[in-house]
Amino acid sequence: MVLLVTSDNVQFQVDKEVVERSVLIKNMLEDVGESDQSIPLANVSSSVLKKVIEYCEHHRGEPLPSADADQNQDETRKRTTDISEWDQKFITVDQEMLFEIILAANYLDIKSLLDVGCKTVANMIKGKTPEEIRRLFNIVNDFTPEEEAQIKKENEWAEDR
Amino acid sequence: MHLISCRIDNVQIPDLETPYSRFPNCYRSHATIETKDQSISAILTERQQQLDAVLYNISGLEAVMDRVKNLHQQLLDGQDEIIHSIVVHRGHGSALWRLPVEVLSQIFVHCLPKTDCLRVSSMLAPMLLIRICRHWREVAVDMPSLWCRPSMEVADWSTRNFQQMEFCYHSWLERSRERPLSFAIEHLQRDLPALHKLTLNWRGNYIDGSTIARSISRLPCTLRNLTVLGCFVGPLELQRFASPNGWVHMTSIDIALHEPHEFLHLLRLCPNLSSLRIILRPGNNLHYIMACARPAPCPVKCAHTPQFTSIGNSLRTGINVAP
Repeated sequence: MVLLVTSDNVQFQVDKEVVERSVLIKNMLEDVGESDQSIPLANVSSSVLKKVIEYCEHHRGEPLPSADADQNQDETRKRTTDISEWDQKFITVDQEMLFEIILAANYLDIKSLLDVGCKTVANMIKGKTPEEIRRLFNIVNDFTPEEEAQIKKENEWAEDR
Repeated sequence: MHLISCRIDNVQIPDLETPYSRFPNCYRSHATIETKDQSISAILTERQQQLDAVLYNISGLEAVMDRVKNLHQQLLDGQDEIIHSIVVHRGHGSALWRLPVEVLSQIFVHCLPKTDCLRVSSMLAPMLLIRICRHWREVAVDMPSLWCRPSMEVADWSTRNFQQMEFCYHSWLERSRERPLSFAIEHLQRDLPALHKLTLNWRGNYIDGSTIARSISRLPCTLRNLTVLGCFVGPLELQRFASPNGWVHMTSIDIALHEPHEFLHLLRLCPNLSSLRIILRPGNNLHYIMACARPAPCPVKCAHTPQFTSIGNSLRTGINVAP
């Protein structure tokens, strides 16, 4: 078992096989060797780590994408936005939690989880107008009038196509 | 005297009935007119006063309405500012802004349509992504991989939208930078003088052979690699290939042919060809091509193609036969 300590100082005892889905933690464990020392995760809160562990538990035993294979499949992988049913249900969380999970997956280097998160956000963006996207993510339209004019010019021909 | 009284929610009109208001157009004798002159005059004076009072109230009310409209507009502006402030502050707190650029880039890649080539539309990624905010625009513009697979529509180059279209494609292609480009060109009818590699991907149920021939007959002499997808090219189209000089310089061709023997015609057209991949309909005789191509392809020699080193073919299902 591996002891993880979150940013809000909560401790999690997690099976090594589960926690090693994180390349970051796997490498740390390999570097440190057998040790009872806890691993501090300064960038991950307990609520987020709980979700991350839930994901890793579910995908326990599945082969990890190797760096080479990942590079080769990169384009294919990135171009499909299909998410498995379980992953879809898992990632159905509020927007802040979704981004926190993505950040944690990126920090912990869990590629498959990062992928699920990014695909989910992409699916939220697809089919929406710029205004709807801004509203959805609380994004301010901060273009200057000159930039707006440039964008309008770029889009004139491609409008409503 | 009854002037109009006006309360906040109700306007009270005085009784305007007089002995003279019922039958204004009936006959009156001279004597009657004289006797009643004074009272009618008094009524008119009273009505004028009532009208003045109404006009005064209307004017007052309009001033109030203007002030209310003004206040309403101020409240709407205030509402907009508050909402803007909420959005700004929510945005600052959001983890979205803590996403590193590489993660945002990954999201953007997933936003691309699943098609091989990307339709140039302001409502689809990547163009959609550069319309959201400055940060997203900077990230998306700085990702050549988003911009290297355009599907170009050149059917209406002659229309007056040409400049808009040119600017749009120019902006798009500029962002692809040094990345190898993959084009899908719809209705190619014009010369592209610097084109080196071209994929013609025909879509739709009905493909007009003359359109294919017209498109290919305008190929520039800079072209070296040609892929024709989505249709089987027949003898008619191949005959019309012969006109331009462009074929002479071609080094690599990937094409679907109606009949296996048509590949020999291609070889004659393209003396500098070094690689040819042929797609055949299922059921076509592969042995014919293999017999021609192995070990020392006589027809190839006959066609004077000294650079020719690679030939492959496949059925529609994509089975590859090694050269």
